[in-house]
Amino acid sequence: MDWNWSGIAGYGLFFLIYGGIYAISALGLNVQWGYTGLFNIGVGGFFLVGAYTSAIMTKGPDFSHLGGFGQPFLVGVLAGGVLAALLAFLIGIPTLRLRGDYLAIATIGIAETLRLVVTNEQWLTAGVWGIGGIPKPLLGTFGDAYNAFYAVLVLTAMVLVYFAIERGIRSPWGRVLKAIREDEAVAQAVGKDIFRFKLQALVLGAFFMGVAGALFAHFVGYISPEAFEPMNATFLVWVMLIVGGSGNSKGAMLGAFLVWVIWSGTEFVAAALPPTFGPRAHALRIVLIGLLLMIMLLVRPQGMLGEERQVSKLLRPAGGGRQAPADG
Amino acid sequence: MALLEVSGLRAGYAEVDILHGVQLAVQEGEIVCVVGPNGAGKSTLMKTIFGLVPVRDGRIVFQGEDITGLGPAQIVRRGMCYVPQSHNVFPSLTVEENLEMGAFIRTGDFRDKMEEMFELFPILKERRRQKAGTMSGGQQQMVAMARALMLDPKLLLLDEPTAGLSPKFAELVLEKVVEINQRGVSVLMIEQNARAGLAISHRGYVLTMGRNRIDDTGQALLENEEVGRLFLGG
Amino acid sequence: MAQLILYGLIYGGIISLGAIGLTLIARILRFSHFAHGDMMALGAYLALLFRVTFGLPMWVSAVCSVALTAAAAVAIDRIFYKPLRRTSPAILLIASVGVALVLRHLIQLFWGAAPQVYQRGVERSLVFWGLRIRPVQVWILVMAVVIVVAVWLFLQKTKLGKAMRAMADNMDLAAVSGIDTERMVIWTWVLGAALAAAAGIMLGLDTQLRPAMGWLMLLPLFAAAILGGLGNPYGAIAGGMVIALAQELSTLVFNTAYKPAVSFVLMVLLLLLRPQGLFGGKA
Repeated sequence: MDWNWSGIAGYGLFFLIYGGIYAISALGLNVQWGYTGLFNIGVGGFFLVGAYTSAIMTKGPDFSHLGGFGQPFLVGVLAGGVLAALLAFLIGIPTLRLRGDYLAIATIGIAETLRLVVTNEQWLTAGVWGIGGIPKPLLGTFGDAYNAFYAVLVLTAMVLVYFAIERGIRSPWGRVLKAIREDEAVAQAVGKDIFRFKLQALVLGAFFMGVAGALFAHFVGYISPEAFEPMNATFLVWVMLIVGGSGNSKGAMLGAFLVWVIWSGTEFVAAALPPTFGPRAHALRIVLIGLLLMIMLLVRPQGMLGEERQVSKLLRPAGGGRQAPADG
Repeated sequence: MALLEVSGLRAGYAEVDILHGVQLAVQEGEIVCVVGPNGAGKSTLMKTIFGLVPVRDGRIVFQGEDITGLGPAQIVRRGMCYVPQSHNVFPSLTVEENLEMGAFIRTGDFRDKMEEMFELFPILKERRRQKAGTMSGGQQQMVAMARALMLDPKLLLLDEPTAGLSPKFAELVLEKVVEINQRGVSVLMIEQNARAGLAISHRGYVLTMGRNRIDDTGQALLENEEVGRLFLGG
Repeated sequence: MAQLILYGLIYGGIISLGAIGLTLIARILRFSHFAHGDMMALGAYLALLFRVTFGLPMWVSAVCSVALTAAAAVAIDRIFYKPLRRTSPAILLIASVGVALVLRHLIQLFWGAAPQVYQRGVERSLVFWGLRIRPVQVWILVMAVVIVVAVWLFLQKTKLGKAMRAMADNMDLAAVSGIDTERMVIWTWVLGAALAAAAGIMLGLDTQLRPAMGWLMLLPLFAAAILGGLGNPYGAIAGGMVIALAQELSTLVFNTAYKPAVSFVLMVLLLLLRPQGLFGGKA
């Protein structure tokens, strides 16, 4: 049988690259939501900031947008992460004191506002024209095998992020985060400054999302506001985390690759539709993913891997059991 | 046969039991007062009887029917109404509207009943269009009781009716309880102010740590030295 | 500037209708219904179906759409939200985001992404005292007022409406009084969805229909509901007007593209300084 190996391999590499990029984003969201219980529906915003920052930092001068810094790839990626983290810091200060769902809508607002800024401030981002010609690192060196190189690059980054998070989560710092998610009142009673921890979680998660965005930008070479439409940048990451298991770093990564496969799979379903459907086929794919999320929430909200098992010292008051409400 | 009979009642929250086999009875026409120190389980007892807290063991029989395990919506239809200790009015609704809500499941016209309530609580009559949330604590308590009476219950459950009220209003409220009782409504009441509560009650139960301690007539409990020592206070 | 105020009033009517439903759902069902904007879009597009595909007159299409949207909302609640009510409000929120997304893209699937209108042709503006207004906008204003009055009558004069206000005030007490809370939940969805559909149709009449039209309204809707105090339907009306006016007037200073950002900033300020809203309600 004559398999198109290079075709399959090519496809496989794309899968690894995109899966890995989303996995990094999902790991970031896991730190914010899975571990700390922060409702960030503005994932796309941090992703966008990371992408645009890196693009601007690494390109040569271009009259259509701010640029000309010509920094190396690594600087760009780091800058992307740092700027996203900075944004999270600025946002977190006013909003982290808000109740959960208010935080959610605040983050939606932030992401939307960012998109508006990026679309309208042409001097900065070339608006809807987007930024093209984003340099691909070491393109010359790898030539035909470039995608393989980039896949290795992304996966390495993902593994580094994973280990960094694992170290963090197993430390006392990490235990406080989980305690906060379980029961804020208890964590607060034990004297921890909840706000500081929440902010740190938000900022750290955002850093990773920014890095993911930068990696994305350098791979595709061209970004525009459309690429960061809520579906791809935010919603898909949430579905990945829920499917994989929130509160579980391995779950985040598993969910990312799994959902990416499903998402890519829907492309075949959509391709099977008559061509008159055209761009509507894309909508069908999203409907399918949306239904996947709904089914997941109804049937197995803890995700495939469920939450990590870890007992927090802060969660078990001596004697066990919850306090009964005061009785008159 | 007693109007309400509670036997061997066990109930609680989460993994903890608050009531450890409580028994209690209310005869028709009586005012019964449950007293006891804080944390004794008085409020839990009332909520369990009314179906707000699940029964883990024991029986509740009302008017000869076993109502153990029924929820508030069903119990209300059987002639038992409940006035919670706090948040017992609809603040943005007027007094009239509060009463109307009390009569929600009532078939037929409720307006006669409403006028009856205004007769019983003249303070409310001139404030019928006032929003309940703008009224004083004592007035709100009246609204709360009137709301519960709109369905002509045979048994009225009152959770600490004088809580947070000035002495003047507390006295007024308890007078109203007596008046309500004289109109044929039996009353089961929890009172932190044990002295005042027992003074108007036919019988009383002393509850400590989720168990029956003493029960006797109201008068006898008032004179009981042990009870006095425990917590009747001044 | 008076022209901007006029636009603000029209737009405010639309936001208000959506915000009433949102605020009642927030209080009675205790979750932030992130699919409310897309429910507006659903209403708009269903009306399009009746109007353009079936050729029915506009007002008939509107009524049919409102009824169908209300039914859809109840169905969605039964299928997706009700089973999740026992879990955390967080899960419910995510579920509503999911529903929002599915609704929006189902609309795109069936109607496509290109903008649509109920009626072709350009309308001439009428001019009153130097202010321009299109005939359809007059209709929108009139209808908004009529609907708001109808809602007021419903909430103030009918038993069901009073029960709804009672539930928004104190759900536990409502249950204790014997009010059938499950039935009231259904009625809350019906009212909320009907109003959202009406608002969506008006939005479509005023501008045009695009699949994302609902999602873009979500921020102003929430801002209005929070401003009015969650659970306060009358506050939501006032909130809607304030938000709309603020957005329109902001164009005197900012680029019009940033209008949605205005309601967002207002909302955040409000949440930080006075979360119970200007008119009270619960924080």
